[in-house]
Amino acid sequence: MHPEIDRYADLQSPLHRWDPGLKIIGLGALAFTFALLQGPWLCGLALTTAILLLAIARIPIAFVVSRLRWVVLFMLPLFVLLPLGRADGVSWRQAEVQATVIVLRGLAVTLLLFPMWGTAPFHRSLQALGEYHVPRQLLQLFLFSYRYLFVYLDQLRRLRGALRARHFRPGMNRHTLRTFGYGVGMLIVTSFEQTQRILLAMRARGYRGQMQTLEATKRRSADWLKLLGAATLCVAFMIGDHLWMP
Amino acid sequence: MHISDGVLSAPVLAAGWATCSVGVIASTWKLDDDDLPQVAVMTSVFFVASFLHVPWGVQSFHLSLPALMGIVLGKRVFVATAVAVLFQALLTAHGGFTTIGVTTTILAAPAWVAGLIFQRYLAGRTVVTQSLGAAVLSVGAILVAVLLQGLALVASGEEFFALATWQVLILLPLTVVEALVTAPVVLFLGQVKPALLGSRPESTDVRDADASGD
Repeated sequence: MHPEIDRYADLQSPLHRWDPGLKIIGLGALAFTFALLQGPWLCGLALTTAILLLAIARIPIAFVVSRLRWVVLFMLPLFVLLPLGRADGVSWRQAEVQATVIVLRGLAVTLLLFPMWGTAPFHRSLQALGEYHVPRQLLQLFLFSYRYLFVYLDQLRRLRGALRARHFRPGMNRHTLRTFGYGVGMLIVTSFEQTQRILLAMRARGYRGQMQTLEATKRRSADWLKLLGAATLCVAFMIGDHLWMP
Repeated sequence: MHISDGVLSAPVLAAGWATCSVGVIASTWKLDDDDLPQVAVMTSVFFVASFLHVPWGVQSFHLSLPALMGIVLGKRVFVATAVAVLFQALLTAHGGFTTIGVTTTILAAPAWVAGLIFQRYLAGRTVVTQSLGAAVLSVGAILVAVLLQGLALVASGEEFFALATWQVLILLPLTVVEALVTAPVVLFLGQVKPALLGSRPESTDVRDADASGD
């Protein structure tokens, strides 16, 4: 799988136009709210909300579905394992309802990640966090790691190509594991030797421990209104959940 | 070692974020700006290593190599794991977003301890000893991580006991897989770049085996 949640970051939608920092704060709060809902109907409503936001962001559904495989693999066993592990006095049906609640809110949060992180270039979203007191060094680590991720993915691809050319077929055996081991070792050694050169190159280009950016952030009132909308949704869901609680 | 969104309870999520924050602060304590690129590059290398899949029946394991991360990165392993887990959640859709704190703690805490043990008892030994030691540490780190994950699930509700047990069982073969990958990596690093294992060059025995392998 190619690591890009931001493949559709250049579309046009109200979510794309939202300031990335405020978007992550607003939709992040909504994600935590969704993750802790208790009522089955509210979880359904949360999933509907997430789908609606996805539709507003105009991110193609096929792209989203292709990235849900792991989540679904994790979730499906819940329908069997939760009823099996239920406490005394809990019926099979109640346990199934609980499994449904978990799956619905899990899916709602997962789908919410696409409007949250997929509607702006990923590096732009990370940079935006810097304006909200995320520690500078942590932020730089995010940005550097993200930058070099693609360099090493390319190296890994070359390594795989070289292995295939020598008729290597991975399987569950010692040969495969040892080969992978040497591959990872090689990757670590070459990258380690690169880091010193990277630092010098960055210094030569004026790096002083601070990442400079040409894109100035300007938050408009629409950005704050959208944040207000997200906050209202959070409160509404929390109140709804509180009312539902027996 | 991924926990999906929507499963864990609020106290467990909060505890996860709290321990993760403390770990990241401790891990970046007195981190020199000049060291940033190195930590970042290692982070991306380990993240990329998780793209290596070992086929097993109809499914496949991907590598996470926590012990190796601990050995190579030392205390920086916590922040490196946090970045890798965030990328996994957002970029490759493995694991949840609200559970980043918990997942980071589960993976990084045993990795950190494994790194400490390696530096304390294995730095400066022959590469073969280091490699075998790293394999044992790898088994230990994964076992602790798997158990911590089970604990996080059970702490969220007793009804998750069956789920936790099931997860422990399917992840157990991973301990062997990771150990069998970690050992050759450490063997390779010990021969080619002993500095990465935190040992002085003169104290490693480079005559043990052929560095190129197969």
